[in-house]
Amino acid sequence: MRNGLFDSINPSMKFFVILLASILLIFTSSWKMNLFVFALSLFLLIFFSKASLLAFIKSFLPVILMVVASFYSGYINGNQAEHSPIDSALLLSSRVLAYIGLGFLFSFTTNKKALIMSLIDQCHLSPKFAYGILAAVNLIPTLQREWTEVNLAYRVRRKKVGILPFGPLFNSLVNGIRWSENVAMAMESKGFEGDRNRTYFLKIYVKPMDFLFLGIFLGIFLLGMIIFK
Amino acid sequence: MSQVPAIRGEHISFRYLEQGTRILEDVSITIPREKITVLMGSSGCGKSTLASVLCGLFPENGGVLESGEIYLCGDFITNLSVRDRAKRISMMFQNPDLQFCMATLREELYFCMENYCISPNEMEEKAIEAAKIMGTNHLLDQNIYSLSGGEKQRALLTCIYLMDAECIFLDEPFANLDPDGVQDLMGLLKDLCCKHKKTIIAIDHMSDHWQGIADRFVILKKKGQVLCEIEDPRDLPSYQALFLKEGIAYPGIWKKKEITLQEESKAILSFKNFSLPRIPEKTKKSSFLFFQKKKEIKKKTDYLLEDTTFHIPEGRISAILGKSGSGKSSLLMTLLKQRSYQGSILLTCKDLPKEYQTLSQKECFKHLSIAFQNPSNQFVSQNVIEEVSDGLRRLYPKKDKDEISSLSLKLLKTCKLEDYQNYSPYMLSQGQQRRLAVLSVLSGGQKILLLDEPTYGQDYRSAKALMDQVSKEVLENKITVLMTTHDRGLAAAYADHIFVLKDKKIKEVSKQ
Repeated sequence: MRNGLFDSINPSMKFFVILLASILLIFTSSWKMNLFVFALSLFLLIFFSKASLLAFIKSFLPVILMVVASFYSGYINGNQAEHSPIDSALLLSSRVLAYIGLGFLFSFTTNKKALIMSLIDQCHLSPKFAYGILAAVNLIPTLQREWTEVNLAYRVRRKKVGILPFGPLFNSLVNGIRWSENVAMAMESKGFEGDRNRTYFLKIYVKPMDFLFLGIFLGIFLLGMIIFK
Repeated sequence: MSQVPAIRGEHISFRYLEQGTRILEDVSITIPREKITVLMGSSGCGKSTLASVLCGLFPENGGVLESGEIYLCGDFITNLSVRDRAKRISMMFQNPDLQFCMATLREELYFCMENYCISPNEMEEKAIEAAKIMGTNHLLDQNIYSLSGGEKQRALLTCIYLMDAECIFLDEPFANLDPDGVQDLMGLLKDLCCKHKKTIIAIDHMSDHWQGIADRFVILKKKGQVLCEIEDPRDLPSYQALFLKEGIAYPGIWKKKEITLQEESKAILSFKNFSLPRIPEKTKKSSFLFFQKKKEIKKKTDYLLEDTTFHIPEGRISAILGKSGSGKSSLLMTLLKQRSYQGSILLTCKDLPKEYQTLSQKECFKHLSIAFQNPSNQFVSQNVIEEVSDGLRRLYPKKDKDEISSLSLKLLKTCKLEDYQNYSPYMLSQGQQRRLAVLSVLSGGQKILLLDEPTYGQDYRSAKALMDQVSKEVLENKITVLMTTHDRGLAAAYADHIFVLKDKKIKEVSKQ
C-alpha cells in the first residue's frame, strides 16, 4: 500500500521545491489553502513514503500545542476590521499546520547522508563543508552523552542550573572546540583533503521521475492556490 | 630502501602561540622502518605535539614551526600533499570517539577510499577484505557510536590497514582498554608490523604491556628532546632509575600497600541480591533535544550484574576491576541514581541504615560525589580557586570570604596547583585537571567518593600525586573511596579492598 516514491526523490530538488512551496504559501491568506497543504503533505507522507508513522505522531504531539496556542491567541487578539476573530484564529493556526506539514514532509522522507551527497553533486557544495557537516551530525550522540554528564556533574556538585544552562553550555562549548580540531585532524590523517578530486560511493543523480513527481506536486499546489484563493 | 628511515625529524622547534613558550625545542629524532617503537615520557613533555608535528598535522592545523625539517620515508614533508602524507603516515588519536566522521565502519571505510579516488565498484569488496583481516566483520554495519572503546580502536585500525599507510602513529592506544583488550590489539599490531611490513610508533605511559612486542623504546625529556634510546628491550630493567626520575611507570613500579589498618570497618554501602539490567530503563528525563529513533528491544532482560551481594567498607579505598563494558561505570551511575536496579542497596551513614531507593537524588549527593573520567566535563567555574572554594562555601556556610580563600589555597597547595589559582581550569594539563577535579570533589565534604578511572592516561608521577592525595584524605577525614580501574598494580598499591567484576558477580579478592 505504501510506497517509498517520495523518499527516493533527489533530495536537493525536493529541498528547493518544498522551499518554493513554502515561499508561495506566504502570498496566500486562506485557511483552506493552509489545511489543503497540510492534508497534501500528510497524504504524501502516508502513501508515498515509508517513514515511520509512529515517529511522525510522536513529533507531532508538541505541534498540537503550538496549533492550539496560535488558535487561541488569534481568537483573542484577532479582532480586526476585515477578519472576524474566528477567521484570524483559523488562519493563524492552520498556517502553523501547513508549514509543519511541509517541514515534516521534507525531513521524514530525506536521508541526511543522501541530502549532503546530493548537495555536493547537484549544488556544487564544497566537500570540505559537506563532510564537515556529516561529521558533526554523526557526533550528535556523543555530544548528547557528554551533555548529560556535564549536567550530572553540576547536580553532583549541588550547583543550581537555571533555565538557561550557561554553565554546562560553557563546558560543552570548550569541549566542542577541542573536538572539532580533533575530528578535523583525524579526517586529514585519513587522506581527506577537502577538494573535489575524489570518488563517491554514493552518487545521487537527477532522474526524470524527480521532475515528473515534483512537477505534479507543484501543479497540485498551484491548483490549490487558485481554488482556495 | 630499508636504509631510509621511516621518519626523520631534525632540530624541530614548535610553539602553539606566536608569543607562547616552546613546546618542542630542538628535537631530533629518527624512527627506523618496520619496527615497533614506543615513545615514552612524562605528561606534558610534548609527546602528542611531537606526534602531530611529525605527521604534518601541525603547523597546518595551528601552531608555529620555528625551525626543523621532517622527512617521511625520505621525502621532505612540506613537499607532500595531504593525500601523499596520509599514504606514508596515519595517526590514531587518544580519544576513539573523535576519529570517525561517518555513522558506520563501512561508510568510514568508503570515506577513506573515496579520499584516494578508488573506483566505487571496488569499494565493497575491499572494505570486506580489510574487515576480514582485522577481524571487524561483525562491526561493519553497526553504529560506531554504540561500539566499545576497544572495538572502536579496532575499527580505526581497519581503516588504517585499508589505507595501507607505511607508518602508523598511535597516541596512547590502550588508555581505555582492559588488559585482555590490550593483548588483543597488541597481537593485531604485531601482525601489522611483521606480516604487512608496517612501521609502528606508539606513545604510552606504561611499558609493561609492550614487553615482548616492542623493538625499541625512546624516552623523551622536557620539550620533547630525546633522552635515551633503548635499542634492545631486554635492557629495560637497567633503566629503572631513569624511568623513576622521569616519572614514567615500569613493570612493578607500584609497591603493594602494606595493611596497617587492622580493625574491622563497617560497611557503608551494602548491596544485597543486587541486579543491574543491561539496557537501562527509561530515565525520567528524556531528551527532547534531538529526536532519536530508539529501537526498543523487548527481549528477556539481560543483566550486567545479577543477584550479587557485596559490601563496601567505610573509611577505606575499594577498587573494582573488570573488563571494559562489564558494568563498572554503570554501577557508579546507579549510585548516582542514573539507572534503575533490582535488589537493595543500604547506605549506612552515622549508624543509620537507609534504603537507597527511598533517598532522593539530592539527598544522595549530600553523601556521595564523583570524579568522572573526563575532568573537563565537571568544572563549574572559570578559575581554579573558585572550583575548590565553591564546595568549601557549602561545607562551611558560616566562614567568611577570607577564611574560605585561605582554606582553598591550602587545599590547592596539597596538589601543587597554587600557582595556577587564577587560571581557567581548561588551561591546565590533563594530569592537573584531574587532580583539580578530585580536589574540587573532595572540597564538597561528601563522605563517599566515586572515582571513575582516576589515573587513565596519566604518567606515574601524576597518578601517584593524585592517589597519594586521595589516600591522605581517606586517613584524615574518614572518607570512603570506590574506584574503578584497569591498572592492577595501582589497585594493589592503593586499595584496601579489591573487588573483581566477573560473570555478572562482584567478588572481593584477597590482596595477596
